[in-house]
Amino acid sequence: MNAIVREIAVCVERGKVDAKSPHPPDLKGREGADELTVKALHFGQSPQIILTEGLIAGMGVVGEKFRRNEIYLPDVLMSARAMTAAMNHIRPYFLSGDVQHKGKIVLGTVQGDLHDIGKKIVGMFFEGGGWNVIDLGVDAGMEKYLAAIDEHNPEAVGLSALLTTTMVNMEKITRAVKKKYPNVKVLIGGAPITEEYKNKIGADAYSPDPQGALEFLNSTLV
Amino acid sequence: MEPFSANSREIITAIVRDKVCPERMGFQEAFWQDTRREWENQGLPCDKSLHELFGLDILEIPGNMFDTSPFPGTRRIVDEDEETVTYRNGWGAVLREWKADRPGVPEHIDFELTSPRIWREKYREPLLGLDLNRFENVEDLKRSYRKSMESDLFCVYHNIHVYELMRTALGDIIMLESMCAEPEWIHDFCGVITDNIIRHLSWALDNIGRPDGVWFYDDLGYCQASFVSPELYRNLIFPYHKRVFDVVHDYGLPVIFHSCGRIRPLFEAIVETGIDCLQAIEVKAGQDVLEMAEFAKNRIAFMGNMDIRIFETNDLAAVDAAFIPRLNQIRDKRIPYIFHSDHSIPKSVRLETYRHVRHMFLSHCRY
Repeated sequence: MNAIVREIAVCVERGKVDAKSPHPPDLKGREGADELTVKALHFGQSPQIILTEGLIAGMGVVGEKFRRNEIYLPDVLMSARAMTAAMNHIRPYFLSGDVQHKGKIVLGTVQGDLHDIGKKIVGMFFEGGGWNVIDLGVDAGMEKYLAAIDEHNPEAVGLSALLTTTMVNMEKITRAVKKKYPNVKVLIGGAPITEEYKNKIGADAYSPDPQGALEFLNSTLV
Repeated sequence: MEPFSANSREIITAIVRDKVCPERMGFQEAFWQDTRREWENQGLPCDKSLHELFGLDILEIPGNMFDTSPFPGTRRIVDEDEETVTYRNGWGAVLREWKADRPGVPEHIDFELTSPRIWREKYREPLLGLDLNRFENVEDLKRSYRKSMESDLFCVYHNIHVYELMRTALGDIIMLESMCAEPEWIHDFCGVITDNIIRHLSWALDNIGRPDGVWFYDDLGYCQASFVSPELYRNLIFPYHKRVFDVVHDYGLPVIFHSCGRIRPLFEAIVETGIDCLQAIEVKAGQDVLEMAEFAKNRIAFMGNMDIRIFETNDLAAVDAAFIPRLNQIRDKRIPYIFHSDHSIPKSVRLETYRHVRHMFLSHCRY
């Protein structure tokens, strides 16, 4: 792997955004994901390689560590910030077709629930895993999901719920999605969700952590 | 069922302050806003409090304590629809929440306090002095205090703490990122907020009156983990928790501390802050009162850890099968304990179920 791309992966993993960023302290003053991505593109590195071997690789390590509780949300968010800084330079290549997403996923917090942070973090991991994320926001009902699938033609949808009283809305949405779009995979997650509940409502996947959901997408749909 | 000789105040004082096991365990609960209305449809008398109806032992003294935002009383509605209301709070943050008594956490829409510069220029200064306007109505609070203390219940003041306040002010993303990127700012923020809490709480304790304890809320975890690492907690939050709890102890009062989520990684540090009782000990986040009590060795009391998912089955046999052995284990291990769900009771729990829980508790609560 190219040395600069390897450095980008490390910056994403460690949450080193740019040269001005004081975090992490041991990388203070060094270039971050932002500058290194510009440099790599300047030297002719393929944006697809930067995405795959830099950003996705870095976020993959973050996802694994997060799953094992070796790192916590502040570290994850700094990594996501570093990833976004690099991704801003890669984004034009998605439009030109030089870089391809792995697929599309529509994400939302289900109707009756305004909780946002869990879905946002999962979305960061999906984006950092090379997926195009369409975020429906919170309090998203069945009609909103179906309209989004109609419009964006995603490979998967993700449903989030914080409360036992709102997770019941997942069932209605899941059954409607599977009826109208049987090939679209339905992933569910959130504090009250279990594997048993996933089976009960006919969803395709549940994961207690973002990396597990990403692995499902990559192994099933790529 | 034999009657008990000690009243609620004596029972909870023994458990929480003295960390001993009196004649019975304590009994307490939190209910979602819409639970009572649902239960009234199921036959709950409308004219009695839940304390009277279910024999709860702890009373949060009614009334707002003090507004800890820089600009108290400036909450303004900026938008609303049939179901939700969007408002800007005293921290300049825009949040949306359900109307009426529908439960749920607010949606984070926008935050003005996004940098140390904005903090210094606009929000820090108003937090530095004692401001009695932070109390919505001192006379009402005094009346409420006196009336509460006339009861036999264990009465508490209640307030959120630095982590929740920081979340209200900065939002999750800015707050958590800044813990890494701007730790000096977080220290300054927590220090100023802590002094503010201490100033106004001390004023309340001196001028309104001393309750039986103080209950703080600071959610430090979610289902899978604590929000921050043990190191970050020790560095950025612990000192401010401890400072406030030390002041409460100086008044001779115990501290009850609420946190949701998987806080086991932080538990040793939380115990070291000096809390007297931990609540709510979520089962679905993997928390276990027996294991934590074994670890804490009677340094603190516990309240909670009764799995809300069991309540929600409304299967009375399942309730007995889950909770009776648990109470027996707690009794056998002599854990100072207050019965409570591992969070709060939603309306999906039927009144009949909760009445059964209370009956079951009374049959198995004697130490």
